Amino acid sequence: MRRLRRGHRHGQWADRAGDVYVIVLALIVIVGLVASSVHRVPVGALRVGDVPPLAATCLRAAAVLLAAGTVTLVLRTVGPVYAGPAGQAWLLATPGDRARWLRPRVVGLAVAATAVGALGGLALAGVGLRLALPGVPASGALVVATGALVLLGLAMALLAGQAADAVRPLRPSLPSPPDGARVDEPTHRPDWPRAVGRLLLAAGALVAAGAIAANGSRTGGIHIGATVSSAVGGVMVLAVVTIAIVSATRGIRAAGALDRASLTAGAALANSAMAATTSMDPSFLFGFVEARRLRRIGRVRRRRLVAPGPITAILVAETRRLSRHATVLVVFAALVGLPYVCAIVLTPVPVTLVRVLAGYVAVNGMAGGLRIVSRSAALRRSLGRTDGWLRGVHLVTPAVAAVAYVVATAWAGRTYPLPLDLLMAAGVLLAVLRAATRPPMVYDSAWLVTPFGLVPVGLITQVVRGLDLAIVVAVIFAFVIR
Amino acid sequence: MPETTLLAVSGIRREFGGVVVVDDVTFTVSGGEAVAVVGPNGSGKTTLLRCVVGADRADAGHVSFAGRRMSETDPWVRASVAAALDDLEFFPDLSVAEHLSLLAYAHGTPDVDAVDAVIVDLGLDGVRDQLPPTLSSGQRRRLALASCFVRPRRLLVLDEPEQRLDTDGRRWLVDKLLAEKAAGTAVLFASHDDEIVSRVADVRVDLER
Repeated sequence: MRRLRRGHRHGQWADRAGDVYVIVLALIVIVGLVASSVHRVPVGALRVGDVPPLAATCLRAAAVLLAAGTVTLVLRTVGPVYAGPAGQAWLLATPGDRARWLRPRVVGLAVAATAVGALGGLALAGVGLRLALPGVPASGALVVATGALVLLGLAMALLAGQAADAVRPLRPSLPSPPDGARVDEPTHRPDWPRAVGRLLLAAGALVAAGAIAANGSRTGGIHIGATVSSAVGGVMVLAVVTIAIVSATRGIRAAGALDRASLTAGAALANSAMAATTSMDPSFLFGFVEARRLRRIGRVRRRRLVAPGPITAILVAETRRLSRHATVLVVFAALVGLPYVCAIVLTPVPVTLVRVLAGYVAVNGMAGGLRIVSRSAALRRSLGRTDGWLRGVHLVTPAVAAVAYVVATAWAGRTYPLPLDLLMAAGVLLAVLRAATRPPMVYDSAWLVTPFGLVPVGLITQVVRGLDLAIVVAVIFAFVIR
Repeated sequence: MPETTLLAVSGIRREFGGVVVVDDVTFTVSGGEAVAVVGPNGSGKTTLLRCVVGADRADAGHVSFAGRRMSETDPWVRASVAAALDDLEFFPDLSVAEHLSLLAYAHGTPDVDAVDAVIVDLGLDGVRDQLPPTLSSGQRRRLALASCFVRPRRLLVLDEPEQRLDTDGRRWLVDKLLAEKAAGTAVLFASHDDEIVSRVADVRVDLER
């Protein structure tokens, strides 16, 4: 069998080498373009001169922790190990030794993830060094090592996460045992990769809050020397490397126990991601992830929907729906803090840009009801009333969120009168409304011939609908209303 | 005796890329009357119903409801026509009971007991606190039917309502449609089930080619 397969592969290696060459060349071109663009950015004009050392150290630690937590949770959701259709049809259905087939692939994936993580860390370090904070001891090597190893560790951790999930025993509905019989209850293992990710995010948020407080109280008197910075960095690196080694070992050992459900679940998500990329419609992926999340919730606490009238009933329903989307609320809180964090190191112009764009993302997350109603004619028919009435009622929640956001971020680098913030809230709300009412994608739209090839201008304008208006609002507030 | 004509469908034609799916269909439905659209797979039953409620735009013909042009975005039409077609959607993060209660409130008839009765009648009591993505296809079908019965309606439009219903469910459906007729509701439905059609329908519109 092996001889036949080897014979079939004649000539395929040259093709694969060619594909790898094209991909690497494209990556080098893109990275080079980005690096040269970043190099041209007048960092000096965007950066404040005196950043308290304590705040700067807290910022770097927070950035690492938040990036670590985000990558952990994203990879835990995606699950990096999955079997494609051929694997599902042949290998999973045979009684062969699955561990012998999976382990080399898991090891290869770990090595590739390490390389990607290291490259990502280097890129982050490069940006970090470019934006080197004045007055802070140089710690370039520390940044490089920390960034690379954090990403390495996280990539490893998620391999183990999926394996751990696969071997977790289910909770069957056990029948009542006969008298005298002993029934062993299955143990329920916690989802530790998800817990670690949340812990990292919480830690990062706390440290970021510390940076804001340090900047606000100007505790620059607390001088963080190179030794302390290195010690803190060293502890973080040690912790991450430990997690990486433990996780990788667990993941590789548990590779053989990955069951069919675990391997095919990842394939479904990968297919959704591919469909979303091919059709340039992220709703394919977001819808799949959302449906999976809701299936995990399954059943909710019984509470009667009671309201004095139709408008309040819809608003009560909106509140119920938001209560089942804790992530949206957490992200909202995090994005409220982002402009304050940026205000530590950046001047008011870029802070305002960040404030508006972060506000758009935050409020957009609260507009789930508006999106669902706008995109489903059947649901609008079912609910009755006019389209405008339905959209208007479902606009209340994002409107409240927009006002809350601008009020909460009013002290982050604002240089214009406070009442103008209401205009900002209105602008963000209009951008969210524009995004939520996006019509179905049309694929026979205009294409533009450029030196880089054909660019689907029509598709791009559809995809960025909403964000385009948010960018206009951001530019107006950052450069015109000052 | 049937009341005056509520729904008038005249000369409906729909084609897709030169393929004629519905060709010159004409019929009326009066209050208290049931009209069944029958035909084999691919004969255009679903397309016809979608054109009637305005979910799809007919290439020719005219649909009027109570003397007014049928417009899918008209709030008066939405308040009077309850339709369960193949495209019905639900809020994915509201439970079955919450979704049905919301529909009742949205139409100004927040009768909690009536909503509970519909949930029990359609066999959804065991899943009333579940979110729609966790429902089986049969349960989603029942939820779509329930969505029609928790709110006021003068015209009921159903596309193969017997799908995914067991024997008891089909028996309930027949009784329910007969009760709707008795209450003066006009019923337009597509069906493959000869027994339901023979027991409920007053008129058959045959789309068989």
